[in-house]
Amino acid sequence: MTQGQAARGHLVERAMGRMPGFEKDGVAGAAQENEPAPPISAAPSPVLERPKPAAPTTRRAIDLGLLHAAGLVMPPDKTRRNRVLEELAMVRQQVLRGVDSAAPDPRRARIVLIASALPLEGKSFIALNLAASMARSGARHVVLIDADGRSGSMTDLLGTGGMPGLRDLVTEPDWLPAQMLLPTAIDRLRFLPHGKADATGQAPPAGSTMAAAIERLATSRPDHVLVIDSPPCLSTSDCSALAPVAGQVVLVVDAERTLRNEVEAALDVLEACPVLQLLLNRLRLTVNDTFGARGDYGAANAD
Amino acid sequence: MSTMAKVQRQAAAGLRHRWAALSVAWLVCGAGWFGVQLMPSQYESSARIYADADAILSLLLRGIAVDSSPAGQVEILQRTLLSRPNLEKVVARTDLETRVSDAAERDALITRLAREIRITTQTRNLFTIDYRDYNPRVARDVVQAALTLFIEAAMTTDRQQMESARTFVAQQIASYEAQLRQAEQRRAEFQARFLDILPSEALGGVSRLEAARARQVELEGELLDARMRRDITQQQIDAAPTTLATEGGGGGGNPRLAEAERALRELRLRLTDQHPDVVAARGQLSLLQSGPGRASDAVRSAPRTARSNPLLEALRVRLVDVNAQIGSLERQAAAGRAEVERLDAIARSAPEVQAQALNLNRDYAVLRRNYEELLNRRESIQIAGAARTNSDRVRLEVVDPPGLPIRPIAPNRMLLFSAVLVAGIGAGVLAALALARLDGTFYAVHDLRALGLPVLGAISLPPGPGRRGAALGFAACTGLLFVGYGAVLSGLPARLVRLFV
Repeated sequence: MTQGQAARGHLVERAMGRMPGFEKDGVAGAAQENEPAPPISAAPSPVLERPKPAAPTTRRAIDLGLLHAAGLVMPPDKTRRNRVLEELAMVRQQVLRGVDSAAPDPRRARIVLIASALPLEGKSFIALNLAASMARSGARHVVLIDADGRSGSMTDLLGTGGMPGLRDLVTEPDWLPAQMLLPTAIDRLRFLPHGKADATGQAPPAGSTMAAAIERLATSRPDHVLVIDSPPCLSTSDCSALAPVAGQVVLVVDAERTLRNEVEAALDVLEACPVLQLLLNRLRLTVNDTFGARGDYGAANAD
Repeated sequence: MSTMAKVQRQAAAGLRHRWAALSVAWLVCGAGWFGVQLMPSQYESSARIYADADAILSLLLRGIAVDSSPAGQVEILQRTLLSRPNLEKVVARTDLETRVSDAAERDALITRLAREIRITTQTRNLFTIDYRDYNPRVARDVVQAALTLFIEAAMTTDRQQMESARTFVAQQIASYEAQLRQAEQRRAEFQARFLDILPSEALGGVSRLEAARARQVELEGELLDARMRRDITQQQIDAAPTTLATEGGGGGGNPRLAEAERALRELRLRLTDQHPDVVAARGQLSLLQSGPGRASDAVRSAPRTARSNPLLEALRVRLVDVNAQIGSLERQAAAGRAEVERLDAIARSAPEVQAQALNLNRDYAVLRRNYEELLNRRESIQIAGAARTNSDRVRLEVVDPPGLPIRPIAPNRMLLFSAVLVAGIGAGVLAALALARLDGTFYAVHDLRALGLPVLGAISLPPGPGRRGAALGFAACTGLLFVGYGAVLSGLPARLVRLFV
């Protein structure tokens, strides 16, 4: 069925097809991913008949090469620990602790908002790696959601520019999200693109509707952790709309760049979320109390 | 956070601003080097002179006046050299004249000259005159002018000193003369008053009283002698017999006859018997032998046999003489005694006269000696003045004449360039630290924790090639700063400017 879709000339598929190594991993990922999907997508079956969106009948998994190109950190080999991976594991454990905690609203606790004050602070990097780490580490399904969608965002990086995504979910509230969750080379990690950049000049969806869509998604996927890669807090209003639905916010702070008052302003924007956490990215300075300052500890893999 | 970590954090923060710091360093160094290069060079000219300013006065007043500190005189010379009129002369004689346009500038210039012309004493009479200026020629000229003034001043002071010495000596002479006159007058009056008891030159340095006493003693002695003589004479008169008994003619003979015989004998020794003279003498003799002379002699000698004693007569005469002498001496002794008594009474009435006389004499002698000394000195001044005006003896010698300086003595550019480099680097470091302090970014998890929210951790940035390139660039720019320092130190900019201008 993949071949047939490729012949039809879908833009993204053609782009994917040109990438080396995509085919094999993608097939494998897709095969695994197909399994849990049907029960979710079963209910809103009429969506499939809709002609308007390019029906993602073929769900080709996003391969490891693309993920790596988008910033996924991969262990150099299986025998050595990687410092960044260790640090990510630390963050993951704390975030998962928050997810698992007996929050008043368990559905909300599963939504993790990755935010930052300024663009280019490493939100997408953190979101991708955190999601990948969660997916790899345990029996937890993770959906990575790109709420940013500007050029250069995760959607672009993973080559899913033309695919239906969050925006379509907003505009078509009754559309089945399961169709849009793209499988990746990593088990249990799915990716929800931002959606098509609309040629008709349609205004970007309001934050509140986006938040509503995400809530719907969370409801429809009860055992999934939703990691949202959000737009910069001081650039758009989306963050303040997304914060109330998120169970916890990870505010990424770019070391040696983001100013304290900028961080404080971002925290003001995000104050609707009860759990605000900070994460220092691109740490350069290594002092005695820095995690990992004593070098590689052992030969065993962190995973 | 440990101290080390704090230091590391500050260093990292500073390092983040390294480009700004480097810019500051470059800016400071560039401006500083430019400024140092623009600083005018200072040239120093100096002259050394030997000045014997105190020769005359010390020569003249040696032994009389208190030594009037020659070093002090030299200092006066120094001070007067830098007086305002002199400095105006210096300005007028050098190119400094062209630098001033109005009175205020001239005033400032003269004040500066007074401060900057340095006269230092090396040894007692050896001076150096120094001056610095950015124009070597002006520096030389100023020192030369000052030197000329110094010599002129010394000469006029010399002449003045000579003049003052002369007037001084003249005054002293006049004063001594007056004193001497007074002393002389006092002495004369005193001597006139106590003439009798004062020793006098006429009496061989003894007083009249002394002389009278001596004379009295002498007279007494003479009187005693005369009385003794009288007594002895009296005794002899008493002892001598009154008459004297005589025994015959006693060796009589006619003396004329004997004479005639002797004359005949003498004639016959030389002449023959026939010579008329011999004949005449023989006739004479025979005449005498037969003449009446023999008879008269015999008659006269007969009564003399009991005549008086002649010795007694003589003694009597002497006695009379002695008695007369005694009378005279007794009179003289009485007069002398009266005189001595009179003088004694005067002396007793003024017992301190001797001491006063001594004092007066001493004062007079001292005054007279000094007076004569001064007269001699006046003569020597006349001679010295004549010698100076005639031969123009130089007592100021220029040991080192002022030269045209070639090498600038200040500013020490090497030092200043280095100081600018240090200052630039310091400013850069300070700027980095200040920026690090001011910037509100986060360098460590610790900084983030200060916000008061839970911190999940930190994701470190793996070292990338871009950072290495930037580090290389930074190192290159920093190195370039030192290269620039070396270039400035070697005088490259000045050479370049000379090449193009």
